Amino acid sequence: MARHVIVGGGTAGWNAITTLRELDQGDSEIVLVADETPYSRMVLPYYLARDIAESHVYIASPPKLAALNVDARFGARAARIDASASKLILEGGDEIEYDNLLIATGSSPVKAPVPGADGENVHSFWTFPQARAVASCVGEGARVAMIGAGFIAFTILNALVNQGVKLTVVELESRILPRMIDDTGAGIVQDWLNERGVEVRTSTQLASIEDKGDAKLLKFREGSDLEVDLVIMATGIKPNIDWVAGSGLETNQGILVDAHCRTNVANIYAAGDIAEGPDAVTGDKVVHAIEPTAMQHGRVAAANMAGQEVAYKGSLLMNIVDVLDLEIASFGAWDDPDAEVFEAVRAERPAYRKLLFHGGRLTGAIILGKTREIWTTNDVGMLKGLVYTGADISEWKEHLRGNPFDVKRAFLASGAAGDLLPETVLGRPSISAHEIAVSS
Amino acid sequence: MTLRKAKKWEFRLTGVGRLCENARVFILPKMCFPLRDGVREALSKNCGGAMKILKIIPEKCTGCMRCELACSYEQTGTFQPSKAVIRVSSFEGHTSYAPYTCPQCDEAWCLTACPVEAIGISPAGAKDVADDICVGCKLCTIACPYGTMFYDIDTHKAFKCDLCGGNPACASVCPTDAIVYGEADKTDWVGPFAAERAKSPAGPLAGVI
Repeated sequence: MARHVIVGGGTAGWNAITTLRELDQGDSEIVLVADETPYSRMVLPYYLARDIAESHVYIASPPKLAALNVDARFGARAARIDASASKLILEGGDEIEYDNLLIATGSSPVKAPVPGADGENVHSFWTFPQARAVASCVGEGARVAMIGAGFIAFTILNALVNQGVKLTVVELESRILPRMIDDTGAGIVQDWLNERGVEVRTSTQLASIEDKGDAKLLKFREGSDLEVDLVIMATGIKPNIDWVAGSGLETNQGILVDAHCRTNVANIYAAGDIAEGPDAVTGDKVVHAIEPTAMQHGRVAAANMAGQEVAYKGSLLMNIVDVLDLEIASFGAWDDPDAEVFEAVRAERPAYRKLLFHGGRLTGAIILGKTREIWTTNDVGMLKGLVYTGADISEWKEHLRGNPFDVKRAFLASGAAGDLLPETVLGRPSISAHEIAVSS
Repeated sequence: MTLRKAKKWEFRLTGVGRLCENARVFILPKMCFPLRDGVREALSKNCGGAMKILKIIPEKCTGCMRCELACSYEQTGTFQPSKAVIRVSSFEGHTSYAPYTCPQCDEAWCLTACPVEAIGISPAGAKDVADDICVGCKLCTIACPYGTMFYDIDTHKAFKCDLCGGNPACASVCPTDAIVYGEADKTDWVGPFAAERAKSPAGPLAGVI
């Protein structure tokens, strides 16, 4: 019986486990090596908002893993790989032999390298313990500094503001959400935040964090000091790649994988934030540290581990976040300087739409507008479908040049739905994780 | 069980007649068609066997929008087309129309994307959101490449076509059989129709006011 060893129990690891069981109904050995009990990072903002109970955060719970006949080694950490002997060596020296190894060790937050960054009440928001620590400091009137204005910061912005926090967002770069939207979009979001009592400081570099009684005093290279009760460091993440050094795996930013999520070693796969695989639009190898890519990588890697030859098209960069009922989403190569760009701003709504074309194909998009407005929330999936399929919408280009908000008919006429319908990752209809049964 | 879910059977049983009665208050009289022959029989039919889907024949659509009204009523208890999960698009200056909804795709992009496993497959074969598990993160709305995953700002939950538990309201109220619930291949029902209209000599949106 084949033994699949999976390192990391996040989205990629969990999806690999369910996919393996979906395909083999229990006819393989699965060992999960995870240093913490698995949980869904994506829902931590809702935990912080006090919308959901702690139990809601655990997805790959020990009972579910047991029901799928997974040998889960919680608290274990992988130390290195002996690829020539197909062995994983754990910290402490234990060895696990494998037929297939999946590396899904995710990424870790990086704090701004300033004095005081490791002090009390300075937290990243990445792990469940960190989310708990932040939640314990958040309440009506608490003064909070968010260092970094990227996607992670924005996912928890609602939870903070809605609980009466006095929030200041500080960004090193010249605009907020620098890797998700362009200057025009960022300007609209910044105005929206300012109107709702959130202070935003861009082009501002944190210099140090000092203690001032129970409070924290932040000093910057530019601008006035800031006194707060809590500092949240949302200053980026990096793949947890150090432990694979010396294993013979090819790496760049992440571990390089092909369209099968396979590394340069035939029986070693990588998935999720740690994998650097093909981009669906450009074909270039990239790290997409986003939930949908982790899910897709996990499924594709597992299908191949189970013996199916599954190549996927590549991952699509996409993000969606709402900020106090302003919806922000982007897809694909939204910042491509070589693309033909159609854009429109309706400042009074506010709403913004940007479509990026190469020939008759949409290769990227930005969508921004009130969550309540039909034109915002209805179009996100269709824009994704157009970018992902690369369907030809030449006939509609002139119309979209005049009104980039009206994509629906172009989508319907594109044939994208017809291209997509036969497509399945596993070569058969997907089922819910709840339906996966393991034969005893 | 939420109100939204509970309403389904109530609606199915007392049904289409009441929908029309209520609809009169809200919509133009021309949209109130008499109950189509066979609807009541169809409603009482058992939905077992192979999977049924919504077949859409846009050539038959008159743009009456009853499907949107019935859908929103079924899904949310209000006549509010903006909350319908079937949407009618107009072409060629509002002279031709095409309803469009979730094709219940085999890949189930929404289901696989959900980080809390809130989306399952109902006995009718529809992908369906469990309101008590959904946290409203909207990942499904960007994962779904068909644009048929929606977000309700009032409930802060995702919602989509669930085939009304096996008796879709849109098909029941369609007076021209442009929407038919039956066994069929999952196919792009609207694409060729819409593409043909895009190629109209007057341009894709000729005559639109």
